[in-house]
Amino acid sequence: MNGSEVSDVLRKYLQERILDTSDVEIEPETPLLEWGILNSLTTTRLVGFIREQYGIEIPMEEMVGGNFKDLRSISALVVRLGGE
Amino acid sequence: MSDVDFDIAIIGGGPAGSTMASYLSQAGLSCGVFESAIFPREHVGESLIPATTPVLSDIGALPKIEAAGFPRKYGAAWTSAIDSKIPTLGFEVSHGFGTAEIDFSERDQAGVNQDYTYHVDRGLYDLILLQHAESLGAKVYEGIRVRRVDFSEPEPKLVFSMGRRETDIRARMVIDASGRNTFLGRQLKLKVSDPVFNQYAVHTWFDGLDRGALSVSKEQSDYIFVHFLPITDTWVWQIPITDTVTSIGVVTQKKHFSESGSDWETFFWRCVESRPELAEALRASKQVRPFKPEGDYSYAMREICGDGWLMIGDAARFVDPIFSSGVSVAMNSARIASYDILAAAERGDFTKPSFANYEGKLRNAVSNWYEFISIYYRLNILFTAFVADPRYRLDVLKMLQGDVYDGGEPVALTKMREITRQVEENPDHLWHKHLGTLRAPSAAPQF
Repeated sequence: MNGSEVSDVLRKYLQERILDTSDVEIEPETPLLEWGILNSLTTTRLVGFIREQYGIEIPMEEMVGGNFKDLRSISALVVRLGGE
Repeated sequence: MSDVDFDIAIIGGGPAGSTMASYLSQAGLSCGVFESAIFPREHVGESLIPATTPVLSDIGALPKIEAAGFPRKYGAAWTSAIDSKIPTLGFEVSHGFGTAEIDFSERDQAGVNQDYTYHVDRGLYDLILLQHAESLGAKVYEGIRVRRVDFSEPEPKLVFSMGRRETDIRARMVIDASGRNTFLGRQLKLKVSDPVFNQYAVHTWFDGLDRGALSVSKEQSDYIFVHFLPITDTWVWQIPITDTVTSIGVVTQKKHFSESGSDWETFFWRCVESRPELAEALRASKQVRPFKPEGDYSYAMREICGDGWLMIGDAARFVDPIFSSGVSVAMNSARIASYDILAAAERGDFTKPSFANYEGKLRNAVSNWYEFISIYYRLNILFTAFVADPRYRLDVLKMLQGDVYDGGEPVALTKMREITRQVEENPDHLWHKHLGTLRAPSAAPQF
């Protein structure tokens, strides 16, 4: 699984389905949690998307701030879980 | 055994007592039902779950309930106060976390051949069941308040007043179906208040409410709705009673009410105002009954059966109204206990060991309910997540249908408990800040 491809897919999802706008540019280090783009509700939707898109189940114990703080962390998490 | 007045004396003529009397009368035992009120009378607990259906069918009352024309309940929906803040992107709404909903038809349930249950006016529903028990041969005495049960002799004696005279009847055993009155629990000093739940409910009926005001689609307006309020551990029930009348109740922690220092009416409206769209819909309709409070209803018993006695329904245990389990527990506990009682009558042995099967099954069911309810309050978002998760949805639905008496702990429940613990232990967990304040110890039943 390629990290930059995953990152692109997730960015597109966040922009189109979570933010519902392309006015906000999401960078690899945009602080998603800090800015409230990811709250517990949108995070859970993102987790559902990752499940459907990659067949990857993110265990509840990985649902921590460190794994979701920005696009880079989330992509790394997906790649790590996808490679296991 | 010829010196007894009845084989079985039942205290209370609500759904638990009527169901018990129906099962036992059908099987040929003589039953006396002693009810303190004159039916019909008002009662809280108006929404049923599908696990009541096989019981109604067993005792032959289902056609009467169907014929009464109660609103059909096809499912349940939970709305949360935060849904207006998340984008409403078509299909995502139904799988988002503002709203969770289930249809009972999604999961087949043994003994249930209809995809709906009912919302009921308990005055009428309870009357139909009590008259049904009578039609099967039970002797029903209304307006009789039992004073005490005398256990000093092998056959228990029910003592009550008739006019100015104190009188008694003797039976081979006594069933406590007295509901939250907890008759034997108080007499035998077995009642233990729940250490965690101290909820209060205040409720009334409204005429002409737009039930679709907070639903995702108009088709769901005959579901039960549970509206979570942005006040800690507080929610509102919305239950259709007739085409135009809707039961509305606010459930909150007792301390919220005490702290508010206001009367029930002011408190009710203050809570409801926290969901402006709900308050607006209520104000546009007409309140048709006075506000009624219910409190101190979360408790357990140290024992639920003994030599010559047994408790069913709310008389044995009540935790919380959140999943509409009250009437189902009443009727299913009566069903399960009736098997043991019939076997005991056959053997002529009404000592405690005769009721071991009932005790075990009720313990199982009650601990599942208790745990499920605790997790719902402790980590509400987890409940919504599990309803939306295809891996757990049917397992959660099984509990919501009331299918909790047989088998071990549902897988979803084990998993929910595990996740709740992880969230509690890890402050960096994204759900940590969503933990509610009601923290139940892992629920060992008392009995």
